[in-house]
Amino acid sequence: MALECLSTGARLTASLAGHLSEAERLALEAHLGGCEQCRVDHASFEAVRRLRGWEPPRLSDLARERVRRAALEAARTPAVTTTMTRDSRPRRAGTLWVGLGLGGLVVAATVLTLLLLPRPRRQAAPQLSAGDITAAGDLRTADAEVTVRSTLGGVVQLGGPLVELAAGTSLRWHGAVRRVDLERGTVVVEVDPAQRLSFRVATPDFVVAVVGTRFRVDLGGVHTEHGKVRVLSRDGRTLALVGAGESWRLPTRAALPVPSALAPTPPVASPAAVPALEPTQVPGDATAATPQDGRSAAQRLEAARRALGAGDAARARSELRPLLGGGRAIAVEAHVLMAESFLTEGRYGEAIKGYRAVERGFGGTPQAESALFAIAQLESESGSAADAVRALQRYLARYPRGRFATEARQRLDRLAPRP
Amino acid sequence: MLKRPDTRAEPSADERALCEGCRAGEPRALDTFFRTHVARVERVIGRLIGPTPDLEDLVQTTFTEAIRSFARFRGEASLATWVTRIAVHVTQHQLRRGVRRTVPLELLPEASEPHDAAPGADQVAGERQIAQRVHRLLDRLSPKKRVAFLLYAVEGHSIEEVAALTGAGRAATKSRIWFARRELLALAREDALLRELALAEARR
Repeated sequence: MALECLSTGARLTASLAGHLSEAERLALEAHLGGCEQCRVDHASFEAVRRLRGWEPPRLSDLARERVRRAALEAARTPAVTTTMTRDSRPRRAGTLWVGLGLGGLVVAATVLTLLLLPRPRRQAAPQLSAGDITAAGDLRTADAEVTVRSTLGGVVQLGGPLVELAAGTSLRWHGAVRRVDLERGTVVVEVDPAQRLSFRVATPDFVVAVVGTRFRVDLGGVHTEHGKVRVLSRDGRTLALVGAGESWRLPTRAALPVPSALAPTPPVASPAAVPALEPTQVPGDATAATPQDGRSAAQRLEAARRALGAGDAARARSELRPLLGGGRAIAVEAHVLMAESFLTEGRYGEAIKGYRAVERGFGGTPQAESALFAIAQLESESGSAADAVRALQRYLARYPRGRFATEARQRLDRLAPRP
Repeated sequence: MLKRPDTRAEPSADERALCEGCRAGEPRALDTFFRTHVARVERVIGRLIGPTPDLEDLVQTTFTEAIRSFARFRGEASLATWVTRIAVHVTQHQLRRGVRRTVPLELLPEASEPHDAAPGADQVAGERQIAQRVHRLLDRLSPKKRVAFLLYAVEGHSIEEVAALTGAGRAATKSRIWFARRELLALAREDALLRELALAEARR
C-alpha cells in the first residue's frame, strides 16, 4: 500500500463526516482517480454514508406513552440499583438462595403492610391523550359517558388503561362500567394487571373481557399481544380464550353460538361448516383418522375448539382424550386445549397440571414456552407468589429472549423486587 | 430531522427552571422533559444500534436513568447533550451485553428506509441491501469503536463532541474511530456482495 493510501483512509472517514477542507477534498479526489483499491474503499464508505439519510424506526404513540409512564413512575421510586447493571450482574448459586429467601420475606412484609394499611382514596386521574383525539366530554369523571374519535390516530387513557385509536376510529366510553363500545375502526388496549380492574371492549357482535393484558380489537375480531383475553357473545357466553400471540376472528353470523335455550342439539359439523375460530393450526399428522369414529385428528381438534368456544369444557375434553397419546404435533395441541378447558371452568390447579404436562413433555415447541409462562400467570393469579416467582425464573432461564421475556421480567420485579 | 445537540452549549434560563422542577420531582417538569427529548433519544439509540425490538426498553432505561440522576446534573451542558450522553451510555451497555436482537430491514416500514433513495425500484432495493450489509458489518465492531465511529462519521459530530458524549478522552476517541474505520474497511473488502454493490454505486 502506498503512503498516500494510508492518509487517504483517514481522509475517507473525514470526508464521510463532512469534516474535510476544500484542499483536502481535492487531494482525495486526485488520489482516487489513480488508485483502484482506494476507489473501492471509497465506494464501500459511500455505503456507510447512506446510513446518514436513514431514519431509524420510532416508537408508536402507545409505546411512548408506556415509556413516559414507566419513567415517571421511576421518579417516584428511589433507585436501589441501576437498571443498567441488572442483567449483567453475575450471581452465585449460594447468594441466589439467600436473595430468594430475603425476597420472599420482603414480599410477605409488603403484602402484610398493604393489607393492614387503610387504602387511600383513589384520585381522579388527569385527562391524558396524545395524538389526534377528540373527546365529547370530560374523561376524568369516574362515571363518564363520552364519545371519543380519532381521525389520524392517537392514544387516550380511559379509566387507567391506555387505548390507542387507529386512524378513523370511533368509540363510546362508559366509565361507570369500564366498557368501551367500539363503533368503528381498531383499538389497541393495554391494561395493567397490577391494577386488578376489569375492562371490556364491546362490538355489536362480541365482547372482549380482560384483567391485565395488551390486545387489539376491531369489529371482526381480537389479537392478543400479552396475557390472555376472554371473548364473549353479547349474551355473556364464552366464545374463546385468546392467549398471547393468538388471534380470534368473528365467525360468519350464521355460525355464532346462540343462547342455549334456543339452540338445537348441535350436529357433528363437517370441517367446512366449522366456524373459523382462530388460531386454527393444522399440524403435520392431522389428517390421520382416529380409531374411535373415523374422524381425523384435525376434525377432533376443531370440534374441541368449538366446544371450548361455546363454553362446553367437558365435551371439549371428551374430544381431546383420544388425541393425548397421538402424534407429537397433535398431542401437544390436545394437551394445551385440555389445560384451557380447565381454565375455562376456573379449575386453576388442574389447568396448571395440564400446562406442566405440555412444558415437560413437549420441550422445544412454541406451546411449551407459552405453557411455562401460562403456569407463572396462573400461579400469580391464584395467589401463589412464591410458585409464580419460581415459574417466572424457570421461564427466563429457559427462554431469556423468549416471546414473554419482557413481561416475565416485569412480573418478577413486581413479585420479588430486586434488593 | 432533529438538530444534533451542541455539546458545549450551557442550559438556558428556561432549561435551568425545568431542571429545578425535575430535581424536585415535579410531574409537570418531568413530563415536559420527557416530551421534549424523547424523539432525540429514540433517534440516537436507533442510529447507533440499528433496528431493534428492544428500542422501547432502551428508551425507558435512558429516561429512568436520567430522571434518577437529576440530582447529579450540574448544568455544565444543555439537557439535550446530557440526555444524549445517557442514551449513548445505555446503547453501549446494551451492545456490550451482546444480546442485541435485530429486526430485518425488509420488515421495517417504508419510513425507516434511506430517505435519499432515488426513485428507481432497483436502486431502492440496492440501497436497502447495502444498509443491511453495513449493519451486519457494524455488528462485528466492538461497541466502543462502533459508537465512536457512528457518532463521528454518520452523525457528523466532531472528535471533541464524540469524546464528550462517550465520556472518553480525545486521543482515545481518535484511536477508536481510526481502528473502526480500518476494521470496517477490512470487513467490507471481504464482503463480496457489498463490494459489488458499492462498485455498482461507484459506477453510477
